Amino acid sequence: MSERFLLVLAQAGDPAIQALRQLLPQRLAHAGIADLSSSGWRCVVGCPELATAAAGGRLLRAEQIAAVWCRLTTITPQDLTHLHADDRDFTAGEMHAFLRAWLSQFGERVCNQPNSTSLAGPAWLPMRWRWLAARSGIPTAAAANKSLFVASAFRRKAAAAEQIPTLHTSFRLKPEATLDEFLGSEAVTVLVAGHQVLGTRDARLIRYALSLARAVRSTLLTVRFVKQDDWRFVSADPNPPLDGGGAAALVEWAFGSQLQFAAAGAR
Amino acid sequence: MSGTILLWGVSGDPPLMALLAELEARAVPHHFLDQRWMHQAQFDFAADGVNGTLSMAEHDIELADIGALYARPNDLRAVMRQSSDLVADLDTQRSALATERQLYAWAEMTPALVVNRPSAASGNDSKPYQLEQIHAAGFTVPPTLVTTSPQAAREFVAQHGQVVCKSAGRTRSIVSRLEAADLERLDAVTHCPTLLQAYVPGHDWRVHCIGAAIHACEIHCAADDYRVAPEQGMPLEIASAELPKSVAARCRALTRCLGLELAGIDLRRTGDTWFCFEVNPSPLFTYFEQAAGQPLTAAVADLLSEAICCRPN
Repeated sequence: MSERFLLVLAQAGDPAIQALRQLLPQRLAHAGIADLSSSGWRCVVGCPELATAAAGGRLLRAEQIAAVWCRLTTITPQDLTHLHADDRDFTAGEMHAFLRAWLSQFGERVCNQPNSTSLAGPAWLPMRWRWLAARSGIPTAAAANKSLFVASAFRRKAAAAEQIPTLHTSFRLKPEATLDEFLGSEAVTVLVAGHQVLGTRDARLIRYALSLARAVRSTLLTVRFVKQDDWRFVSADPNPPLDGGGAAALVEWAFGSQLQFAAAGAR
Repeated sequence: MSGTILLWGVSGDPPLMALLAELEARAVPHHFLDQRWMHQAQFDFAADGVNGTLSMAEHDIELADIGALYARPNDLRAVMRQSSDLVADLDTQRSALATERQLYAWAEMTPALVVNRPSAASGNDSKPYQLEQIHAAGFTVPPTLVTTSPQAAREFVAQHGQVVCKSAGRTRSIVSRLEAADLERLDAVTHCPTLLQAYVPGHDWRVHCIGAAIHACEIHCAADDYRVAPEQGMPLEIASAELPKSVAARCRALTRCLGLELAGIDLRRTGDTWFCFEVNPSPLFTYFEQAAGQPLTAAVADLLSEAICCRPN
């Protein structure tokens, strides 16, 4: 079998590319939006084995793609500055439609499945995540928007804050964070990355995070919890930033046992 | 009867107007959320998807009272552009968009009957994705390629002879067979993924699945795309017809499989083979109602009314 790649669809300059390239200097393929205007992409209905991609001048056949991580939530006309202005609206819609079909053909090899709201896992309102969490038997934190005054003050303070005091300070404040969390309650961000759950050793939180990841068919998901009377779900992000540990876990998921020599050499 | 039906869309839209008149005539409780007035609506709902309030200009509706939702929203940005006299400032527009985004979320969460849930309807936003779903559900679909590769496009044309080109996304396109001049421009597919489909000769059928009810009509037309036949000066005849039982059963199964309550299915019969081209989750059923004399508005009203009749108090 020829060499296989982890294909990342992302904007140029996405820090995730750098994190992954450190682990996989030879086996990371990056396709940016401009690559969608280059020869080589193919999707044949009913024949996923015939799919191809054009990534940075390299043509990849389906069997050369070990896994796909799509960081692009959508394609907008503003992304298509390389095309004539009159063509951008139509082309953005066509590219988005193409990618939804193309990604779906890779099934479980896509770490964050496209859906109706986004190409990069569900881009849901916080309320919908809480609804899913509750249905999955996970205690949820109350939303912080009971009072317009409080919410408004919260937004102002949140905008001014660079980071919040969580157990993992590498994750930036999310707008859907609860007031309790912002005011300093103990909080934790758990990362599901492939077969690993990072950021906690609490068996319950691991179970909760895995349960949500499975519910949205995602191999990559950050889940935030806040400690009130008990740990409660706050929010989830299917398209999170990755630090070194998360990137290594993603690579391990993508390549399985094949990875061990490749990543071990890079570490 | 308990509860009410919520209709969501833009005033003037023929299916919505027909449904409103039908529900009015039947004295079935209903409300209409007109997107032209979305900026005046307020929406507040709980994470259970059941409790909350939709406040409109004249009244408030308890979400728990809504037993059925008919969702046929247009692109709200386009609606607001057309109603710029109503929604002039950007803050008001942003507020309307935020309210509607909540409505989309609630439409996925509510236990009410939703015709159709946005997530199920969205499959139609990507034709190749929906064709995969249709193929997986057991229908024959025409050979279809989406590509940026001129070579792959040429090979596809060489393999299938007559080929049509259509939009892969939401943009409505007129379907037509590629001609010699088009074939010379195949290098242009490099700029944008382009959908090519083998041309399948035969007779078109439109099938409306509405809950358990099914209404089919046969379309007699020589144009590649019957929807534009009158504009092209070509004769078009749409007549009510009966599907073979096995095909009707497959249409029902496909509709269920796609998570839809209402679907307009485009079929083409070639000999004994029934090809499925597309499933429209938001069909303009009034057009076929007028053309073929089928009681489609009544069938949709039945579906919605039964949902509020059958729900517990």
